[in-house]
Order: sequence, then structure tokens, then C-alpha cells
Amino acid sequence: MEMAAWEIWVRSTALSHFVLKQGQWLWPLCETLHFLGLSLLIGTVGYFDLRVLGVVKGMAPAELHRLIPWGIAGYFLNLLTGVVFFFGYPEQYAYNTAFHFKLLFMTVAAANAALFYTAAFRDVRVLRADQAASPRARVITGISLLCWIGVLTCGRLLTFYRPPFFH
Amino acid sequence: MDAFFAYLENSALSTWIREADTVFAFQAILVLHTLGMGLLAGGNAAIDLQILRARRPFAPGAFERWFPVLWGSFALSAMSGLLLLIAYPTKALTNPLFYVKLACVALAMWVMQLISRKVLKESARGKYLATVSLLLWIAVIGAGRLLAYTYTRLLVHFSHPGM
Repeated sequence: MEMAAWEIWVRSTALSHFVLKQGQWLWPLCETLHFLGLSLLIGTVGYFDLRVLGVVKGMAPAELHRLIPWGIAGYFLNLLTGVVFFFGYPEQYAYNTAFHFKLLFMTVAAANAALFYTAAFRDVRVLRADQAASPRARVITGISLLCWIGVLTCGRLLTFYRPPFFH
Repeated sequence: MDAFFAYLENSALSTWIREADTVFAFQAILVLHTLGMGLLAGGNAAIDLQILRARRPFAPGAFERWFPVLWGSFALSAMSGLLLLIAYPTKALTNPLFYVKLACVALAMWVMQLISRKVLKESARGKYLATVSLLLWIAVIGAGRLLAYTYTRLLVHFSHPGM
């Protein structure tokens, strides 16, 4: 299969050369950071969603929400390490159905987060520890939880669905 | 030990996890283990970072109900981890790093108990405990990831071709 123009460019960058040359230590390091980042995201946003859904009880959502900046930090850590992975082996991702679905889940999660802050956060942040959230807030956080689990699932299983060709 | 590994690997459960032609065997367990890691290590790391960086980390008593939930996440991680261990006992148990990972998990859970008792309930600062906890969870994640790179035997009768 012919290499596409974008892939020729990606492979010509200094970052791509660096990843391929130093992969033996850089790859496991970035994987560890990527797992740490996903943990921060799931370990904050995930619990917040579970609380609004009513699965986890007895905590004010506003208190859990104070941890979310650490989840956002994890998200950006993963964007950064994700770029390292992509520039190292672009074809492993670009032609991988699991990666396509991962991007799709990320996009829906982002739009859904925007919806949450415009349509539900004002009601959720005043809830006391044992108060139930509105149906609307539950639907939105339910979608959030499913999307992030989708991102995690597609990412973790990505290498099982590598394209059969390597450049 | 090899007889024990062979016994486990020949069991119906172990064989099914390894060889079943469905994503709901090995792959699903792997995803559950990753989800458990995220909820357990991530939940702890976020609390640690909050203790280390925030001026007023928590409202008094607000997080008392959090720790049973973290134990629930521990149960998810431990049970999915046990199934992965049953699938590949030789791979894990012949790798010294696996025992390092288990020791770090045990220490981290102990520190989590100390934080829940001392730091959150008494509103003490606990930056020392939070630092230790954060480093332990990073070590757990790092060791777990490196297990895929450092094993010398895959199955009792089949070693990794590259090793």
C-alpha cells in the first residue's frame, strides 16, 4: 500500500525519528504516563458521573467536582503522550477501527461536557450529599460515563486491531 | 512450581480466558482491570494531588463516604487481576516485578487507610502521606505496564520467542 502524503510528512518530523530511535525507554514511559492520565480522568470524572447518576451516594457533587481539574490535567497529559504514540507509528492508529471509535467517543464526550456545563451544572452544584440529581443531569452524566468507558475500551484494545500492514 | 503453573494453565477457566474466540473473555477482563486501575489509582492520586496543592483540600467530612467506594474499585481491580493471573500464571509469577507491583498495591492501600483516618477526618495536612501515596500509585501503574515488557516465560510450556 502506498504511503499517504500526511504519513510521509509525519514520518519526516524530528519527533517521529526521536520516538523510533528512543522507543525502547520512551514508549513504556509514555504508556505509563498515558495510564496515569487516564486514571486521573476516570478517577475524577467517573466518580462525579457515578454520583450524579445516584450509583455512588452520600457526597455533594460540588465536593467531587473540585477534583475535576486533576482529571483535565490527565486529559492533556494523554493528548501529549498520544501525539508521541501517533508520530511513532502513525499507520497503527490511522488505519485502526478501534482508534476511529476512540476519536468518535472523545468527540461525543467533549460535546456532552459542553452540554453539561450549559444545561445541568447549575442545578447539580447546589445538591447536598444525599439529594438526587434531575433526570436531565442523569442522562447527560450517563452519556459522559459511557463515552469515557468507550474511550478507555477502544484505547486498551487498540493493539488487538492493528492494521495487517506496516510501513 | 511448574506443576502448579501447568495445573492452572490446563484448567478450563484459564484456557477459556486465553483462547475463547470472543472479546468478552480476555479482552473484557483487560478492560475491566484498566477501568479498576483508573478508578482506584486515579481516585487516590486525585485526592493526593488535592492534599498537596489545594489551600483548603476538602470540606470537613465531605469525603468520608468516598473510601468505601475506593474499596469497591479495589475489588474490581483485584478480581479482574486474579482472572488475568489465572490466564497467565507463569508469565506473572516468574517475573520479580509482579511481586514489586503487589507490594506497592498493598502499601498504597495501607496508606489510603491512613489518609482516610488521619487526614480527611481530622483535617490534618498530611502532605507526607499524600506524597508517599502518589509515588506508590505511579509505581503500581509503571510496574503493571512494564510487566508486558519484562516477562521471561509466557506459559509453562511456551516461552516468549524473543526472550
